[in-house]
Amino acid sequence: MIFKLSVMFIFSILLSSDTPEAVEDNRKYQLIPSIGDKELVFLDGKSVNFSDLYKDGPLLLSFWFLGCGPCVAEMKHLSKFNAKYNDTGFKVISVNTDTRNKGKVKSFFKKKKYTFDMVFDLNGKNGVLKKFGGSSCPYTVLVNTDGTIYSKHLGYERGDEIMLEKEINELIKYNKSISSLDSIKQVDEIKK
Amino acid sequence: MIRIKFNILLLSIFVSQVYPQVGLQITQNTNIANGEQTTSLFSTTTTDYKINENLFDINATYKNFYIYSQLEYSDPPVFGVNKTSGEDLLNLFSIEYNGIFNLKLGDIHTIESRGLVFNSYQDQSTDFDNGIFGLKASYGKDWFDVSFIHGSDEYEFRSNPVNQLNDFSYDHTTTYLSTSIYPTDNIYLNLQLQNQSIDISDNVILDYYGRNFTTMLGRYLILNQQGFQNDQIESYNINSDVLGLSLETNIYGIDIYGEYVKNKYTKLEPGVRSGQQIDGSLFYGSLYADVLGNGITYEFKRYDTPYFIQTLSFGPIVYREATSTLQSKVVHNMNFVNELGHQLDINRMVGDNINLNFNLSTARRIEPFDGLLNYTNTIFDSTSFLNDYQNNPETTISQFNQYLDTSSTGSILYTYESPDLMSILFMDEDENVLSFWPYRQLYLGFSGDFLDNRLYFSIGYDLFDHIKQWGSETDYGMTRNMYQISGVYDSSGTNTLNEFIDSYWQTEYLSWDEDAYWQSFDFWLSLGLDSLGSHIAAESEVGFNIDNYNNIDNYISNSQEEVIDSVYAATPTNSKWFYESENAVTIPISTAWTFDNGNSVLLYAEQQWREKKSNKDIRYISGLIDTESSSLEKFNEQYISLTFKHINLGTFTATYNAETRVLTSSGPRLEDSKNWSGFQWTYDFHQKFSNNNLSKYLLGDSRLSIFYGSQKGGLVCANGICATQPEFLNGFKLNYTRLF
Repeated sequence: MIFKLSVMFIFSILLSSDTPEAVEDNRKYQLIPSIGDKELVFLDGKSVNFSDLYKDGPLLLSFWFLGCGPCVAEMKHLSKFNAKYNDTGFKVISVNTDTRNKGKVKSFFKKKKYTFDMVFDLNGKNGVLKKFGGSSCPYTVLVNTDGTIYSKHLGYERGDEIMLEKEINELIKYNKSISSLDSIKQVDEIKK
Repeated sequence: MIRIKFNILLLSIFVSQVYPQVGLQITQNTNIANGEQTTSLFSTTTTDYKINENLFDINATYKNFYIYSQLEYSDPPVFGVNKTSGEDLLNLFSIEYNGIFNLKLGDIHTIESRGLVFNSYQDQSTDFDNGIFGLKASYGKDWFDVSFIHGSDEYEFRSNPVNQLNDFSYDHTTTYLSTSIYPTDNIYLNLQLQNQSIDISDNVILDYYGRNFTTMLGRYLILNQQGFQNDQIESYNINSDVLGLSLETNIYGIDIYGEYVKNKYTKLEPGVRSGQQIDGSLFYGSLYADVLGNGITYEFKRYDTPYFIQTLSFGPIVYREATSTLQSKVVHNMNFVNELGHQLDINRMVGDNINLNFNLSTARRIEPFDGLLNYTNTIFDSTSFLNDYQNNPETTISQFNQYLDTSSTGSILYTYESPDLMSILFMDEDENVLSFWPYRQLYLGFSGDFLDNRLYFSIGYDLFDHIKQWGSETDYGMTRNMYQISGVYDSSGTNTLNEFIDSYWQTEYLSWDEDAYWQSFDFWLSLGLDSLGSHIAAESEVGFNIDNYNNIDNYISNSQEEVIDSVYAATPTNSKWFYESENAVTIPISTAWTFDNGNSVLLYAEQQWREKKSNKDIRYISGLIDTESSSLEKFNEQYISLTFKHINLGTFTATYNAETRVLTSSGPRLEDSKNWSGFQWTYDFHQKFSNNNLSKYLLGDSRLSIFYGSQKGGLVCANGICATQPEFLNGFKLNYTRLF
C-alpha cells in the first residue's frame, strides 16, 4: 500500500499542474474546487453563489478568524487594495472561519469599516478553507476570472503586503490578457 | 471499506493527471522535532522527544464533483498513534457532489446552525475528531432548504489532556434532519430533528466517566459503581431524541439569534442496557447592536443535560478564548452538558485607527455538587458536671469529655440555591457560589495603527478567575461537621452552664474575706518575704486570688469562656473546605514597525501573575481556622519575543520565557524558577520564487520554519477542547508546509 501510494504521489507531483511544462498547457492554473451554494453566506445570511464572486474580475480570498492577530493585521491592507483596484474588477472577499461567535465577528467587522465584503464559511476550518488546500489562517487565494487559482499563500507578516500588491497587479494583468483572448475568440467565432 | 476509499483516491489522483479538467490540490504539512521533554513543570527528569508527522491533504475536483482525503504518515505524531502502515495512512475521505442538490459521502465534518445539535469537526492541534462516516444530502431554494445526515463512527478521546494517545472510545450512530425556511429577507427559521444511539462499554463507563469527579455523571457513576460492576451488561446504550428550533432576525437594527434544543435521552442505569428517558435542554442566544458607536454583542448559554455523554453537541463556548501565549495558561474548563454563562463584548473605534475592546465573560454550572453534613447528637450530663465543678472547677473543665455521651450520628447531603450573577462576578468566597464552579474573565484591550500604518501598538489587561475543582475523589467541596449538644441549654434557650458559673462564682466572691488576705500578706511581709512571696503565701492561706477578687466580673466571664471553649473542643463543629482555584492577571503588549522596503520589526512582551490555591481549610465555629493542609502557589511569568523580517533573508525570531514559582504551604516554603529560550527562522519561498518556473516547481508556495532551543509546555485549546503539549528542551523543531 505504501509503495502504491508513493508511486502515485510522486507521479502526481511530476505531472502536477504547476510544472514548467504545464505553463503553456490549458491547465496553467489549477481549477477551483466545487463549492456548494450553502457553504458560504453573507453577513445578512444570504447564500453565496461562488462563481458570482469572480465573474466580473479577479478575486482575492482571505481566510481568517477573530483570534488570529496576523489575519487582522493583514486586513487593513486588503481593504486598501480592494478600494484601490476596484475599477479593474478586482475584489477582495474575506472568508471568516469562526463558526459559533458570529455576533462578535459582525461587531468587529462592522466597526473596522473595511471596504471589502465578508462571508462566513459555515463549516469553519473544515469547509472551503480545506477545499482550497488551506489548514490554518491567514490563508490567501487569488482566483482568476476563468475559475482557476492564480496563487495561494499561507501566513502574513508585516511588510508582506508589498509583495502581495505586486502579485495583485500581476493577477489583474493576467486576467486582462485572458479576457482579451476571450474577446478575440468571440470575434473570431462571430466572423466564422 | 478503507481499501475502497484508498482505491478511489488513487484513481482520482491518476485521472487528474491524464484528464485536464480534473483539478488536483495537495497540501503537505510536515512537523519534525528532536529534543527532550519533561512530564511536569520544574521536573528535572527528561525523556527523548522525537516527532515525525506528515499530513497530506489531497483535493480533486471534476466539474461538480469533489474528493477530499487526508493522508498521514507519522512516527510518532505530536498527538495520537503512529501511522506507518497501509490502512492507517488514510485519515479522512469524502466524495462530494454540488449541483441541483448537494451530496456528500464519507467523513462528515459539518456544523448545523450553531452546533448545539450537530457539530462535527477535526482539529489536528488537539487531536480531536468527532466526525461521522456516512452521508449528507441537502437541497435548497431561495426560501428554504433541507438537510439530511446519517452515519456512524467510533469516537475516540483521551482520559487526560496530558496523554499523548486517545485511550477510550465508543461507537455512535446518528440520523439528523434539518429544514430551514426564510419567510422574509429578515427572518430565518430552522427546525432540527436528530436521533443518536451510543453504545458504550462498561469499562469506559467505569474507568473514564466513573473516575471523572468533576461532572455530575461521574459522581452518579461513582455512587452506583457497585451496581455497574455487578450486573452482567457489557455494553450500555444511550439513546437520544433531539428537537431543535432556532430563529434569526433583525429588529430595529438589533441582530437576534436564539436556538432552543430539547434532548430526551436515556440515563445510564445499572442492570439495564438502556435506562429511563430523562429530559435535558440547551439554549443559546445572542444579540448584536450598534449603540452610540459601540458595537455591542451579548451572548447567553444554558446547556443542561448533565447525565448525557455528548459526542456531536458542541454549542458556542460563550467566553473569550485565549489569543496569547500566557493567557492560554489559564483556561476555563468548559462543561458542554452543565453550564450557564454570559458574555458581553463591546467594540469601539476611536477615529479610524484605534480600536477599543471590552469583554466580560462569566459561567457557572447549573447543577452544583452537593455539600455533606455530618451530624453528631450528644447529651451533656450537666448535673454531674456542675456537682464536680463545685468541688474542683479546673479539673472538671479539663475532663469535660467525660460528661458527653453520643446519642446518634448521621450524614445528609444538602444542595445549594442558584447564586445570582453578581456573586459570580465578584467570585464570593461562599460555598453557595463556589460549588457552582464559577468563572469570570474580564479583558480590556486597545490597539491601533499610526503613522500611515507603519507603527502598530497594542496593550491589553486580562483578569481571570475560576474554580478549577470543587471537591475530589473522596472529599466533598464542603463538609460540615455539626455537633448538637443537649443539656447545655434549658427549654427556654438559656445557657445553663453560664448561669451556673455566674452564680457559683458570685457566691464564692461573697464568701471571700479580703481583710483576711491583707492580714496574712502583712504578716508574711513582716517576716521578711518580699511582696510577691507574701502575696503567694497569703493567697494560699485564704484560698482565693486577690486579683480575681478585684476583677470578679472579668474572672466570671473568663470562666464561662473557658467552659464554652471546652464544649467546642469536645464537640468541634466545623466546616471543611476542599477546592482548587486559579486566578491570573495578564498584560500583553506588542508593537511593530514596518519599513518602506517591506522589512519589519515586531516586539511582543507579556507579563502574567498567576495564583493556584488548594483550599483545605477547616473553619471552627469558635472562629479558629486550621490552614495546615492548604497551599498556595504563586507564579510570575514573562514571555518576550523579538521578530525581524527581512524581505530576502526571511524572518528571525528570538523568544524568551521565564517563570518563577513560590509554593506556600504548611511545609517549607519552596521557590523555583526556570526559563526557556529559542531562536526561529522562517522562510517563505512563495514570494521569492513565484516568477521562476524551475524554483517555483521545486519550492514554490512553501514555507519552512526551523526552531532551535526550548519551549515551555502547556495547554493547547480549541473550541473548549484542550490537550497538553509537553515541555520541549534543547532541540530543534522543523515545520514545512507545501501547497502543490
